[in-house]
Parts: sequence; structure tokens; C-alpha cells
Amino acid sequence: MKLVLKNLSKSFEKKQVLKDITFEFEQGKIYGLLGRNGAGKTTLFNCLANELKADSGKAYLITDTEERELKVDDIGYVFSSSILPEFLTGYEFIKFYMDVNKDKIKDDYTINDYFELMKIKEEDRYRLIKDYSHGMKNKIQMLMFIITRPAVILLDEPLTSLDVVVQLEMKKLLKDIHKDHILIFSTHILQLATDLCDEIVALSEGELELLDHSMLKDSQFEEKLVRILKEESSNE
Amino acid sequence: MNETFRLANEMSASMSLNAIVCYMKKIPLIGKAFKNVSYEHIGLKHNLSVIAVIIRALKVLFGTLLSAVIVVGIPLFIYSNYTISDRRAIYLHVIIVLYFLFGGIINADILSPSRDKFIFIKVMKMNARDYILSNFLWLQFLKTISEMIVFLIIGAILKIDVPLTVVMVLSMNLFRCFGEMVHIMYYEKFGKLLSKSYAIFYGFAIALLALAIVPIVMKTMIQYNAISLYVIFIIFAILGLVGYRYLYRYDHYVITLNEVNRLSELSINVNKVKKDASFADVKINTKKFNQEELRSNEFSGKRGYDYLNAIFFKRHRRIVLQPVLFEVAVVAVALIGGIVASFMVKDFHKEYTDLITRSFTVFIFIMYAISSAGKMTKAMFYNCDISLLRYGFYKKEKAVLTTFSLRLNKLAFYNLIPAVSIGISLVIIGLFCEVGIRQTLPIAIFIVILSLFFTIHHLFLYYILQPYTTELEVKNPLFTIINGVTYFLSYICLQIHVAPVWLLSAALGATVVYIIVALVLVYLYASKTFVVK
Repeated sequence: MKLVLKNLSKSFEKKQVLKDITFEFEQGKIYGLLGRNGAGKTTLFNCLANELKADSGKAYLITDTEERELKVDDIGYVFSSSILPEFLTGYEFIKFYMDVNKDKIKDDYTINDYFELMKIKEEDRYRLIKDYSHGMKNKIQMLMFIITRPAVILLDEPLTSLDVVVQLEMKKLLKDIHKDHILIFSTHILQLATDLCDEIVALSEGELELLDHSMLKDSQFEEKLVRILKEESSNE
Repeated sequence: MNETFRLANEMSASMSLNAIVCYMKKIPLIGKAFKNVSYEHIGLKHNLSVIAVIIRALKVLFGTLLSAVIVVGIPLFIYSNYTISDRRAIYLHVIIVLYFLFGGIINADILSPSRDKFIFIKVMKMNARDYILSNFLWLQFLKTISEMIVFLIIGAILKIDVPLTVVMVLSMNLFRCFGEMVHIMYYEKFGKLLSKSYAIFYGFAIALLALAIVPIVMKTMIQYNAISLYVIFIIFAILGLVGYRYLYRYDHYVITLNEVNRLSELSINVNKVKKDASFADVKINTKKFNQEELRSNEFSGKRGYDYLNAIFFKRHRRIVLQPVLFEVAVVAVALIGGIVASFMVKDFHKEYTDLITRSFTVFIFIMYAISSAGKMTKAMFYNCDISLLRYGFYKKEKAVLTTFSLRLNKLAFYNLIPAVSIGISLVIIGLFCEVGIRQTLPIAIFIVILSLFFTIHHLFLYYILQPYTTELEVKNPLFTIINGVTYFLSYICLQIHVAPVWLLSAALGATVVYIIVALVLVYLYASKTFVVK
């Protein structure tokens, strides 16, 4: 399975954020999307998730049997700050989510099995999401794509503000499930990217660039990457 | 001081210009003309100070006009049948109490925290004294000119000598320095803002309002003669000069203004606080829900959107159910009162017939006022849709239409309870007053349909215009306009005292047509328009 972007472009007024991007993401790999503030990481995610309409170009999903345009249902999007309906309890929300997505669920786990999987304590399941900590909300968001298993999972700065314990739990989880998915992970934190990701993609000047594997192991990697990101922005 | 003034002025001008362009871009039709206006060009022009002066002057003039219409115009309008000397007395009374005392002392500006002061003094470290004084003087200058224009016109209507008005306006503006002085001295003495010393501040404000209104209502205004007025105005002016001297010599502006303009007070969050406040009435109070309720299986039989909707209404019963119960109680009391009155009050039968046949438009306003739909759409957005609309599954046409019809059913149900009780009560009281069912029943039906109408109207606007942004602002001028017009029309209906007979059928017909059109539009377009911006 592959996610293919073809000539994707997006501008805001005069600023061109995505410039005619053509790129391939493969199943079974975790991609770390690196870029400076305002480089367009979230814009790229929003275009893929249909939150924003791209000016031109399309995204395709290519599987063994078919090649088709990417649909909203193919995507699981974890927002940088979790966005969940706060008047529900965690339990109620997951029940609702499972109900409306029941045609996409392949496992036969119960709601409580899922909560166990995410290490969410029994008493927390019955609290209003409004009272959840940031980490708890994040777990619920992650749980959403564990349940529906969309082909493409986009994570916008997901681990940045979690405590170390939850961070580790989430990292493990991502590593466990990545084989069946195309996982793209945006971050500012270089160490997180090198740690977790199989491939590093730099987004700058509106273009995507896959960094060479040999570079990842290079002791000078950090300096080189910074040079790439800086060079391009100094051309602006 | 000039340089500080010029800089600050240009910057506030570009800030407000940008805001205006941003707003204009969002109005349908007009927005197209602004589509290509780039902020770059408006922000950097060098002749901005001219535009800044014009904008500021227009704002002040408009504000002066508006306050004159409200403060002076309304009492003069209410008592328009008084003799000219009485109206003159009302006018001068209002000017002295509300413009001099209330405006001069309550409406002080220098110490009140503001976004501009925060930015210019605290963030950009402009010279506080220069900034405050130049701004204050400039504002007083603009106010003097605007007030001169407005009060000379009013003076001409009320036949007041021109020199008296001129002295009055000058004195009024000078006296504001005295008001500012009082606030600063209070702060220096007690380390607290006068406007935050609620008991004193609001006590004084309410006393002044009472002082303004009571003598007018009792018709005991003082009939000033010209000489006493000159004396009063000159005393105010002298106090103003004392105030001015104080403001000019005061040298703690930096410290005081830095203390007053705290981040927690307003600062960059002023907008967020304001926005949040506009949703305060629909916020979920988590303390209200106990463990039992949160663990309950009450709705476990329901599935998907039905389940979501059931819990949503359950958790919002404070907004939707409590008012309903209250309204029903009021209707019950009115019903008993009506029945009693039909026996006891002499002309009640005739009055009641009048209400039913000629003044039924009052129910339009009542139904508008008690409809909980507007508030509930706000709750729907703030507590539910703002988050769920970010997910693909919730945005699909089927999901949008499902939530729409589930919500419509629930809301219509809750709003129908008071409507039906009002309708039935009207019919019952009618029987006691010998007004036949043939006359009361159409009105009862009208009320029920009105309740349906306002429910659909609010939900329709919400789904078709979706006016709220994730930043919790209402970013849709059309929504604001339609809401204003709805209120205005409902209010007008309150003023129709003798409605023609055909109006009932026309209103019934229009309401039914509107309901049908709204439903069709929602089914055709809601899946495209119901998005988070």
C-alpha cells in the first residue's frame, strides 16, 4: 500500500505554502515530517484530511488491488491539541465512535478491552472528557484510530506535550501498529524523529525532501539538517 | 510627545483598518470588492496618520451622536408633549447629571486597562506619560468638536443661547480632567482601581442614574436660569483646571499604568476572555454531574447519533428543561389568574376578546423570547460540534442530516411544551370569557406553529450559516444581521396594538412557508455549509 501525492499545491493569498508536491509514502514505515515553524506541515495534513481544499493536485491510495483517490475515511488524524466533545465521558465517546464506525471495525474487542489496551484506568473511563488531562485526551485520540484502523495515520505534533510515561507508551503503541499503516508524524523535535521514525522528510520552501538514510547515521546529521532547513528559508 | 503620539496613532489606525478589511471580506457581495485588498498595502502607507485622524474623528462623532440620541433623545421623545421650557429643563438636568457627573467621573479612561495601553506602554515601552496625555488631550479635542456640533443642534431645537452651549461643552470637557484626577488619586491612596471598588463605584453610578431619572419622572427638575447655569458651568470648569494641573504634574504614569494593565486583567487574552464569556451561559459545569449519572446505562439501548444526542440533551437540561418547567409554571399561574379574573374583573371579557382578536401579535414576541433554540445551537457548537466537526465521519452528509433531524425533534419537543400549554390555557380562559373555540383555536394553533418556527429558524441558521469559528467568534455578518432583523420584527409585533384580521392568516401562511423552505434548504445544502471555519 502506498500514499501518493501528485502535484499538490496550496497558497494562502500570495504565500505559496505547498509547491507542486509529488511524493510517495509507503506502508509499514513511520515518516517523520520535519520543518520549521510555519513551513506548512499542518497545511499539508489538513489538505490530506480534507480539512482544507488543495488548490490543485490530488492524493491517491494505491493498494495491491486498486488505485484510487484518497478518501476521508482512509485517514486518521490526531490533532496537535486534542479535539474531543467535552460533555461526554471517555466511555460514552468511544461507544458513540464505535457505533458510527461499526462497518470499519475489524477486531472484536469490547469498549473495555480497548481501554485496557490504552492503559486507561477504570475510574477514568467514566469521567467527563472536559476534566481529562492532556495526556488522557491524547490517548483517546490515539484510541480512535486503533479502533477504526485507517490506512493513513497523520499525527500532528502528538507527543510533544505528554509526560515521559505516556510518551513511552504511545511510542511503543505506534511501533506495534505501524506495519499495517502509513504513518506520518510531524514534529519539531529532532530526537523524537530520529528515535521513532524510519524515514525523515523535510518540508521547506513548500517542497518535500526525503533525507538519505546514510545521513541519519551521520554524526553530523543535526548540523546538516539544520543547514537544509535554513538554506531554503534564506532564499525566501 | 508629538512623536509618541504620531507613532501610537498610526499603529492603532493600521490595527483598526486591518480589522475593518478583515470583517468586510466576510460580508457576502461586499466582501468580493475587498477580496484583493491586501493588508500589506493598507498597513504601510505613509499618509496613514491622515486616515487615522479621520477614522478617530468619525468614531468619536458617531459615539457622541449615539450617546446623545440615547441619553438626551429618549427622555425628550418620551416627554415630547411637554412645554418647551419643561423640555429644556429635562435636557439641562440630564446634561448636568449624566454628562458632567456620570460621564466625567464614572467614565474615566486613563486608568482603565485596555489592549492598546498594554501594547504601547507595556510591550513597546512607549513613554507612558506622553502616550497617555497626548491621547487623552486628543480625544478631548475630538469630543469637544463633536459635542459642540451635536449640542448646538439640540440647543437650536430647544432654543438655548449659543454662548451658553459653547460654555457648557467646554466646561464639560474640562471637567473630565477632574474625573480622571479622582481616579488616579483614589488609586494612589488605596492601591486599587476605583472602578474595581465595586460598592463605591456602582453605588455612585446607581445614585447618579436615580438622580437623573427620578426628578424627570416626578416632574421636579430644577428650572435653572441662565446666570445660575453659567455659574455652575464655570465651577465645573475650574474643577477641571485643577484636574488638568494634577494630570500634567503627575509623574507615576509608568508605574501605575504598568500595574493596572496586567496580563491577567486583559492583555492578549482580552479577546479570548470575551469570546469565552459569550459562551459562558452554555458551558458544562462538571461538578453538577455525579458518578452515578456518568456511569449510568440509561441510554445504553440507543446507538450512534441517537445515543450522542440523548446524552447531549441530558447534560444540557439546565438550559433546555429548566426554563420549560418554569414557563409551564408561569402559564399555570396565568391560567388560574385568567379564570379568576373572568369572574371578578368587570371588563375582562372584553379585554380578553381584544387580546385574542386584535393583539395576538404579542405572542410572536413571547414565543421568540422563550424559544431556547438559539441558546441550544450555541451549546451544540461549543460543547459538541466544535470538536466533532473536525472528524471526517461527522461531516458526511448522512451524519449531518441525522444530527439535524434528531436535534430538531428534541428541541421542537421541548419548545412545544410551553407552546401547547399557552394554547390550551387560551382556549380554556376563552370558555370562561364566552369567547368561542372558533376564535381561540386558530390563535392556539398559531402559537404552536410559532414555537416550531423559531426552533427551525435557529437550527436552520446554525446549519446553513454555521457562524462560529474555532476561536469562538461569530464570524458571519449575515448571521448577526438576520438575528438582529428577527429580533426587530418580533419586537415590532409587540408594538402592533390593533392587528387586522387578515394578519393571522398571512402570518400563519408565511410561517408555514418559511418552515418548508428552511427544511428543504437544510436537506440540500447543510452538508456543505455545516463546517468549522
